[in-house]
Amino acid sequence: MTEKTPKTLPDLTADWPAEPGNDELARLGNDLFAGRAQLPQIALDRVQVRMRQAMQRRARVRAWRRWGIALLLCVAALVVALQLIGPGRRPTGAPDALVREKFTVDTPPASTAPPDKPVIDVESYKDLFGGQTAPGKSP
Amino acid sequence: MRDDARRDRIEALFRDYSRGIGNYVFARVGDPELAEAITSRVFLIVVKSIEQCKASPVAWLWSIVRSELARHFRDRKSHVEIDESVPDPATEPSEQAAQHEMAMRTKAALARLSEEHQKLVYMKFFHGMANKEIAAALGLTPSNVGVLIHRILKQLRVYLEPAASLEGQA
Repeated sequence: MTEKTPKTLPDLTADWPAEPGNDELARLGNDLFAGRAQLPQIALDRVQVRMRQAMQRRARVRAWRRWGIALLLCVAALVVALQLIGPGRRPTGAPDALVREKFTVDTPPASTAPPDKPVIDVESYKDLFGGQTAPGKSP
Repeated sequence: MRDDARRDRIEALFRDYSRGIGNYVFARVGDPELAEAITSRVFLIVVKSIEQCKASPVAWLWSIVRSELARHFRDRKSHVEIDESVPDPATEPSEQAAQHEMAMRTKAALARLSEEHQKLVYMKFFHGMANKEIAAALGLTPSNVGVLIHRILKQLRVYLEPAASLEGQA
């Protein structure tokens, strides 16, 4: 069902050039659009309902997105904090210095001079060290 | 924009402009269900893109309405148009026929106007805006608007003649 609502147009003829048919033109304008069929109010109500549903959906999506970003930032902050204060991390400071240690060792005095004569008479046993040994002879 | 400020702004636009938009779309497409669907799409775009509405809300809304109507007419070319409007049972059959004929002629006449003139018709005759408000929205002077309205009505008078309206519907 269409609704018809008469409507007076504000300042319709303002600034019109002066022409003979202006009255008829003004009447046409007012009749035409005051008498036009209008979209029923119930249709506009349904449009408003759909619009509000779209706004609610959008607000929910934005809320989820904000929570997601907040959670991501918390996790990132936690990871950074653990990196800074974690157990395997050494305190930062000056780089390791090269350590030189010197120890003075007192050595005993030199021992007695070696004997002039060898302890063992090697000449009497030279057969043991030769290329051939006499048969039947034991070392 | 905060959610509540956003919601308030959209509701204000709906309150102020939905009737004018719905009636204009209805006048252009001639079918109340189709007009409702297109008006819904307009306001769904408003919900999605309200941040783009900077200076003149009526000019911004017009750009959306124009775009959605263009989309409708472009898609409609591949379909046969069937007039499914239901006559008002409270009116006499002869009155119904006269109303229907006038609606069809208005629809054809509006379609023949240039885009600039359609915008002025939309603002003046469907939103009931004063010349000064239209001038502010479009960057014109009130005097320019008055002269343009005069010119548009002269054109519409020609297009609404029965013979001329048949040409427009062909």
